[in-house]
Amino acid sequence: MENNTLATGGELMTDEQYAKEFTKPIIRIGTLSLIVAFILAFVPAITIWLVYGIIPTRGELALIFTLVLSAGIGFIIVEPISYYGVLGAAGTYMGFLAGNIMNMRVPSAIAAQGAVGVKAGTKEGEVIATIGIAGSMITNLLFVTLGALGGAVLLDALPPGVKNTFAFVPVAIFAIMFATFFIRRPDLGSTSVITALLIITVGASFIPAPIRMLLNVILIAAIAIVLYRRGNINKAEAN
Amino acid sequence: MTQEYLSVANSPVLWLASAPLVIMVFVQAALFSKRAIDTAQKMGISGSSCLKAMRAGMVTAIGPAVAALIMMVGMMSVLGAPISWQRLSVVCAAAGELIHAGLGAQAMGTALGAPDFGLKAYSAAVWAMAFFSVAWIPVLVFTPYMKQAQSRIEKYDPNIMALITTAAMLGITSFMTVQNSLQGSPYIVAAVSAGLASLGFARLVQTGPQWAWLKEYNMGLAMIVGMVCAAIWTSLS
Repeated sequence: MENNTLATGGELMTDEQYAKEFTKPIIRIGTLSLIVAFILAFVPAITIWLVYGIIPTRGELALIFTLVLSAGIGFIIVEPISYYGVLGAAGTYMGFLAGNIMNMRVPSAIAAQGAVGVKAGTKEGEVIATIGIAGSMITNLLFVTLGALGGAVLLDALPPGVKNTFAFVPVAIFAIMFATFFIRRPDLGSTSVITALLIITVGASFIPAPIRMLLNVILIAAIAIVLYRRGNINKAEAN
Repeated sequence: MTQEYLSVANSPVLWLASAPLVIMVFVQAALFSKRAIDTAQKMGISGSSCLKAMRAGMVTAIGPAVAALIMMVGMMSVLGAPISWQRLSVVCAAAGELIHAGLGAQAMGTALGAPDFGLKAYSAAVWAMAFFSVAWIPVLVFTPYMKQAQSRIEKYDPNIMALITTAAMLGITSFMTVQNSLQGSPYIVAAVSAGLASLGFARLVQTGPQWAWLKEYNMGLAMIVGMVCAAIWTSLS
């Protein structure tokens, strides 16, 4: 267990090497880029003030800040924890900068892992997911830029019937990702649907919205670990 | 009078002010993928596999990107193109952005699209969206600790981290599928057909190398199956 090495095509990478090669640089790049992005996010607001001389008063700004924060504070704190198990460190920095985590970043990460044939939750899985997420960011930037330059014209070309079907994209993606992991663990998959249904219907009356999904994750992870432990004990006894 | 703010909102100055963050997102994607490709090659993963991963990520994002585009047009009509471009490059969810912009307008005693939504309200909306960047603070604070916890778990038993990933994935996707399906029967049809199509494609890939290409496009195609089935269901009912 101490010297946990990874063999892929005859190459070896130790935990220490992996940390030096990937994890540490990723945390450094991620932290730096988020801090820079944080500052750049305010450039348009400050520009409107400097160029056009228009800015809300200090009191109004405080009110806006309070409104935005109180609308999202629960999710703001809970989401980086909820998604970590799925995104990993690099994916977290990228996912939270580029947004659309569950309907764009994670599907792309899974698609990349599937295309190469590596498992989620392993070192190769994390590295390949990072490449897949980067790919999705490029697609997104391309479309958003196209949209900004000529979005209205582009969309008018689509018949309304086709346009309406895009409302089903999110649910279809969630179901595809669910199916991908369901076949790996049908027992946990079925349980997770039941717990999700219970939390959303019955639980909604007393569980605060921001922690509902996290609760489902914790429940399923706990059940998975208990089952795994019990399996190990049974194996040990059989031996 | 009401449209006055839009000439500012669509001005070249605002395009210039919006560009740096968009460029930052691109730079981050480039830096991370370079680091990932270097590491992958040291692990013995071939360059062509990395290219496959990149392509799969790009293709899978097309459907959601088009879906986001439809929302974006609505946002552009209210807040102008440059700021929509900037905001959707980072958070990429027009609905959430419009809520924040609306809160900004609310603080000024007006609402998005209201007759008295002027330049001052527009500036408040832009501030409101920028303030949401505070959401990155918990990410900055928590992620290194989560990584440490992950390393500790991996040292203890490497199987557990893979197990937690699967469990987290199931916990999140089941929750979101159920939550979205409850919107109505076409959503259930979309979910079931897309999920089954994806499993069918995966089965097909296993039947032989002539289907290997399908791996990269599985999600994108399954998504289309879900959309088509839901559209047929809607037109029948």
